Amino acid sequence: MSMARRCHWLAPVDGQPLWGRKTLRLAGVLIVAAAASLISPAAATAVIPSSLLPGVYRTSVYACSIAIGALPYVSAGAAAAVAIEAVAQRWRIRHARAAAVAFALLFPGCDCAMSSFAACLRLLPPGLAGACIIWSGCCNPIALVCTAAVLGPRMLVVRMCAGVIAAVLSAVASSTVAPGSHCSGNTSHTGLAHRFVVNAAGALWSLCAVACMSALLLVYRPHALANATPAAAAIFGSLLSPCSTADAVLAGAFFREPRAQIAFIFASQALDFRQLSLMYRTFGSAVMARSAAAGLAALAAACAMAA
Amino acid sequence: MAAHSLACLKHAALACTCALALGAAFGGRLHSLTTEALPAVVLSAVTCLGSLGRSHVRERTVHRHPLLWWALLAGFGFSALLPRSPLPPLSVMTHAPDRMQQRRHAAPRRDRADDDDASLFDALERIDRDSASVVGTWLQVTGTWTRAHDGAPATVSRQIMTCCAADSVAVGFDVTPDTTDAAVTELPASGAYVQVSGRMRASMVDGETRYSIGNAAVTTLRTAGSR
Repeated sequence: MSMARRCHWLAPVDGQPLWGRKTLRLAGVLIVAAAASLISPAAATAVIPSSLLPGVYRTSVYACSIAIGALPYVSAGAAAAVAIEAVAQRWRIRHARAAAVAFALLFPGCDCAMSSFAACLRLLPPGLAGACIIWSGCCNPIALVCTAAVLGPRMLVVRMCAGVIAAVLSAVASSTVAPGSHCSGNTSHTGLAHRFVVNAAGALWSLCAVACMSALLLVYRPHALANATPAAAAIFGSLLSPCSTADAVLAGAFFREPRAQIAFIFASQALDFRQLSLMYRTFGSAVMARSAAAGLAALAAACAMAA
Repeated sequence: MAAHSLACLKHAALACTCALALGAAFGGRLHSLTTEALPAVVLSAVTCLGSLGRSHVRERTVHRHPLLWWALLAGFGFSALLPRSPLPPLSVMTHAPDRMQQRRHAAPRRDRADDDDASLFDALERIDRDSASVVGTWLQVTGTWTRAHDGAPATVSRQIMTCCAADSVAVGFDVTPDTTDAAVTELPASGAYVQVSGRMRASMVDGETRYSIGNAAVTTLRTAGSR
């Protein structure tokens, strides 16, 4: 029996298939979705070889949890960026710039939002935009509250001082970069939905890379974090790249020495893979290199203050 | 061409993550993965998927992106593998976390009013303040049980999840069950919520002082998986 005869319900009627390919794909996705929500994890993981379970499974769960936890913030950042770009196109660019700076400095959520929001910071001069990104990672309101609650007021002051130093140094160093020399922004003729998707997908792409790296480190090298030196703590921070709300808790749990704690915190916000890739993606290598140099200088200052 | 392929991959990653989030949310797996509220996760996933669909329909590029459909399938399919209760901890810290964090995240909701609920954190704080006054005393704490595995001792612990499962930290004690107790062979499965009572001990492990509960009696309060 030929394929066409067996799939007679797919046969074209007046040139159009009765059930289009899109409809079939959508139905397939919905069936898998319904099945996935009903299957118990024990039944599902029974198909995985037991030798893979301890490490690979835990790594996958950690990576998925990072991506899922970041999704609301990535969406919020992308939506804010689209709204501010729309303001810039339809009304005054001065208002849009003020809104972009206010969002970057005062957004009371996770720094994951900045990954998808950074596109609209192209409206600003590169120096100011770089400073906003560094400040929002190091010193957003919720990160400061968490640091004060977990590590105490002294560490809060050190974190804020380090954030100010890094932001100012980055702004000064990047002020010589010509505006518009960085990557091109979203084209103005595309729709809001398309721009939202470009912002969110770009952010999530780098976030997924960081999530995989962090999960591998946490699962296969968990003891390497214990009692590390400040330099090692900074390296772990930049590789792990935790959220700004979680870095203080992790620093308090892993390290007892204040210099190692602040090195971990600061490196995980100002010198981490996610932040540097965001700088590169949004403003190019010149701003990224200058921001990294500013971050290193601020890191040294923070360690000196915490000693 | 390369830029187009990269854009396809990025869109597929977004679709896969949204499907994963929706699958986890509707499969009752979200609470073991993240502290974000279910409506926020669902709303953001639906917004992203809606925008992705609208963008491709408007640009008439849906038929050129079969990867999107596979990404959706993979996301929903993999969500079935995610756990419904937090994974047992890899290692347990035996020093106190912060009070605010433990109140926000560590205590199971139904036990917040229970005095026993804070016993583990109180014991850890007393050890941090003056360990000599606690070592050798009798102690009773509640927490999640993890059986001994791969040379690591059994533990009773609480997980502090700030943002997601990857940044969760387990705090608690190593446990040496009472070997004279006939019930030792019937120790609960990992993940059970237990009450452990015994005598506090201190020992040096790899240059670190670790605290354990010796001659411990373990009582199951809730079995693994029940909430």
